[in-house]
Amino acid sequence: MKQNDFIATHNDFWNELEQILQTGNINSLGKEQRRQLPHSYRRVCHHLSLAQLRNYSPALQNRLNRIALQGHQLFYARKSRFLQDAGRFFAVDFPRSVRAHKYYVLVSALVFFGPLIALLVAITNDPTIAYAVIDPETAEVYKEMYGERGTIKDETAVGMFGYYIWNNVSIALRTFAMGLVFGLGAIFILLFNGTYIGAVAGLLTTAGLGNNFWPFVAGHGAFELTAIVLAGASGMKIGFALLIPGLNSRRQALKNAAQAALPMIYGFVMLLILAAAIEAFWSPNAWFSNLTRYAIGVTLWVLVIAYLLFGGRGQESRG
Amino acid sequence: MLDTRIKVQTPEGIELALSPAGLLPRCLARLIDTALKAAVYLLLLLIANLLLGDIAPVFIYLGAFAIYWLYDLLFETRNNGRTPGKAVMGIRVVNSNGAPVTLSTSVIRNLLRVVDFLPLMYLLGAASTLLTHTFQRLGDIVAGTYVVYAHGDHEMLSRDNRMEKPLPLSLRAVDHQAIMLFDERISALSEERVNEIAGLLGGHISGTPAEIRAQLQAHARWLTGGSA
Repeated sequence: MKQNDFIATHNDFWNELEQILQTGNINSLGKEQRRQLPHSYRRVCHHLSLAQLRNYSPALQNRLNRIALQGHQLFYARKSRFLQDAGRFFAVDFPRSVRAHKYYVLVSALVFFGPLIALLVAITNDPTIAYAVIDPETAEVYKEMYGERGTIKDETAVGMFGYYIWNNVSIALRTFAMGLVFGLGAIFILLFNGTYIGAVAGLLTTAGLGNNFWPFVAGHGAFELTAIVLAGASGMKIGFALLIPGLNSRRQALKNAAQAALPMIYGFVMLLILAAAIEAFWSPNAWFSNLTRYAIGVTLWVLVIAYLLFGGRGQESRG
Repeated sequence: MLDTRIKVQTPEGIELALSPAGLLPRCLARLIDTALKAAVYLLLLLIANLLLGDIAPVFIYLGAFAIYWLYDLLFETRNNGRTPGKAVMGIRVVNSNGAPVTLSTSVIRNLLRVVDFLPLMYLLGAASTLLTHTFQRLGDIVAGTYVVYAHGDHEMLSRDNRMEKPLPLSLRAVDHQAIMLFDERISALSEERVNEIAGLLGGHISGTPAEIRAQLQAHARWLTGGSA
């Protein structure tokens, strides 16, 4: 069959199918159109195949390619199931994913908490070390901030909630992304934050403000610090895939690693939102004694760790 | 036919061709999106500060967060792989199997913008786009996505087949394709370019450029011919 005869035979069908595909959304099709779609799609695939085989002109092949591609996109579009699966995600997938990456999480925790604790201990012994990390002016700002309880409450809590989301979630997401730089980006951010937080904690404790600082951070620490560690772990995961792709190509190894890290990413974002709410609405308030607030802080640490260690065990994997 | 095409196998056993979008349309799309983001943010600042008073900060911070991290993600997953900038430039994001971008791949490619942006102004992403034959920035490579033209190239189907002329010699299939492609693209090319290509393509024909061109078109008609 010559090309023009081929076109004359099928042109009406193509025009009609193009009209239907123009909508680009399966939900806006009528019932009959939806029933016809698989058949029409296969038919145009067949036509494209014939056009390629018979060496029909590039214009015709392009047109059929475009129709088949639009059909393919409509036909194979996947509905996102994330929201429907949210329950299962929190109960099973997130803690499982953390355990599946336990070595990354442990290394990340070491890189973050190592300098934090080291600096805290060092500064307790020699308070001047704090000024190696924080310049004196900034140190004064921190001291003032935690000087009296009232100064924190002056900010409207809702506004601080927004600030914590913007600031903390952004830092964590950036930690993941920077992991692509051979894992070094993530490690650097972890080291930097561990060092800085350790220095601030040491500075305030040695300045005699520990009774304001520690009860404040006790509430949200479990969520926020865990989230930072997980962000570092997810970043190292992709950096490691780039360095040591194993039996896969680097391209494929990166793809697999990023997909595998996704539950941790969704998870640490959720932890940080929780932390922001606590930090904004609970932490600045002194409704309870410091002892109660420490107890709550410790309880939350135990709960978070238990959740990540035991959540979703014994459940069938979705595969 | 062009070597930049990405071939995708479908379950129906056919090969679809995707045309990846190069650096320029992608830069322009990003420029449009960035301008739009900035405009929305300024509008938010204005409205929040004028009308909301004490609770303005929370809207500004959450708004900034949404504009910075969620804008591309929401448009790509809700609008068939197209942010407003991409829609204007006629490009879209697809998964490596040619299907529309999904939530998980969109999340990954948009988070990794941070790295593509390094050291400034998307230099790393631009380098990666230029160095990969599939025109992918780093985020695209890790997510497994392509940015492709939403529509194919030229299309011209109706052909007057009265003056058709058989080819005097036997040619390979690619040469047939070249002759037909020449005929189909004539309207999109300048006169000089048409004559230049006609000279290259019709090496066996003697005559003025116009005569060569007419004869090539007659061959093209013969190739596509039929009763229509």
